[in-house]
Amino acid sequence: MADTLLQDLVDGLRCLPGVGPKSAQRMALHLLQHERDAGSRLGSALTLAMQSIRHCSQCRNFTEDTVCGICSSSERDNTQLCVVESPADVMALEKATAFGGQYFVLMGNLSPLDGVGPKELGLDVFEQRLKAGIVEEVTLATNPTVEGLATANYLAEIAQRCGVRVLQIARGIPMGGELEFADGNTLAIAFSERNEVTG
Amino acid sequence: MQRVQFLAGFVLHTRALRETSLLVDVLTPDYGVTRLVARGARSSRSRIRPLAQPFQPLLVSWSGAHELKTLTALEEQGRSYALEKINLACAYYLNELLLRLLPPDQPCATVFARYAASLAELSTVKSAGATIESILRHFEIELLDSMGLLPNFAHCVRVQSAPQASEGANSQRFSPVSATAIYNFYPEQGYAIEDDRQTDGVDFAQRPALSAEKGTNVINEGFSSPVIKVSGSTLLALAERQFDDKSLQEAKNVMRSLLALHLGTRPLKTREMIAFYTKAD
Repeated sequence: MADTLLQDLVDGLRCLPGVGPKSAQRMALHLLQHERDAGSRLGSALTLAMQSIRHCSQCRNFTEDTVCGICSSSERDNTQLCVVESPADVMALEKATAFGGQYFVLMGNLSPLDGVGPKELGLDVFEQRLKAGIVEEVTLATNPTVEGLATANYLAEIAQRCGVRVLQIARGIPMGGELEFADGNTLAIAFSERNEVTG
Repeated sequence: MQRVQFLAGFVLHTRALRETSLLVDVLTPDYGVTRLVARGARSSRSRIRPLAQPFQPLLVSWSGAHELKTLTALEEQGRSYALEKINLACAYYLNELLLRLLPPDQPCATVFARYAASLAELSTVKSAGATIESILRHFEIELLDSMGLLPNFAHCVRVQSAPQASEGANSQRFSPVSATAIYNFYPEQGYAIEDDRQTDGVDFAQRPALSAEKGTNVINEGFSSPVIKVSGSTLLALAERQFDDKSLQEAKNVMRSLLALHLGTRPLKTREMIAFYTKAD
């Protein structure tokens, strides 16, 4: 019975991605031996986060308020909406682009063979948002997979029925990539949508 | 130890396995639906990941001795089929049927050929309508046929109404379907019955007592699927796999009832997607 707490900690850490029994044990021992304060902070941060963080009522991204910072900011253009699959995609776009509009986070994609249809994905929320009439332009930034394409098709259809302009992010060869090793579909799209060099 | 190298195939479905691996269901003519593990395929540098997408003609290699085999390589074999909107939803429908119905690891050369042809046909269709419906019916027929579950549409059971006209009360005969007659199709038994008493359009489902009444044993006794009223011309169209606009709607009902027998109670998600696009037109 003596080591129940330690065992609970090790078991608890195993819920993290990529953490097996061995690494969980290493983490637990490290916290106990060298990082007691940090461990306590981690514990209280986890408790607080798990209790307080929910989905933004507008974009469904994680937030501790009813409406997230991006959705409530007066500096963001609420006529522009970018649809992404996950909160990580919002972070990546915020870091890399100058997009000044708002987001809608799907929290997944349409995957009919896994039983995830439009209802399960909550696309009715998306439709209601467009029907409210504020959004003028939707940019679809789903992942370049067939499931992402199916999701984008579906969203585009909803948006067009609501009379909203739809754009889709471009596809191409990543920086540092090599044409020789690019998959044929990406190469075909990158080539067919080539841009004129001006100036 | 099974080692398969560069076999023509398609990925039907993938799903995440543990942190970095992928479970891949592939369709090949020689092995049908096979479930493979692609180790490390979800890492960003994986060569397999961008290719493990549905509707892309591939050359598949795997090895393994047990039920779960290891995907060793994927190579492109031509361009991916350009599918969008309803065409894409229909292509997913084919995948869902294959995964739900086809028994694993069974050769399925004719189904594979039909699947590849269906994708090619779907990629050239411009809008929802008869062409798409015809592609789907054709595929469903081929799939059930390959599994030995396709009824003989060209022949029906004929129930004689007048006992004195035949040799006793228990008179039923198989005869060719006539294009002009109307039939009651029984999905579970897999045949159509023409009742020559039936001139007023009365549905057999409304007359469950017929078997007792006539002493015949071919009627819908002990089965729960609804009876489908279908014209002879549609049955012949199903037998010949050639549809016109008129036969397509009836053929859809017949095929749907047959598929429902084998699909169980869980609804097909892809049908919802197709319905969304057909409502738009």
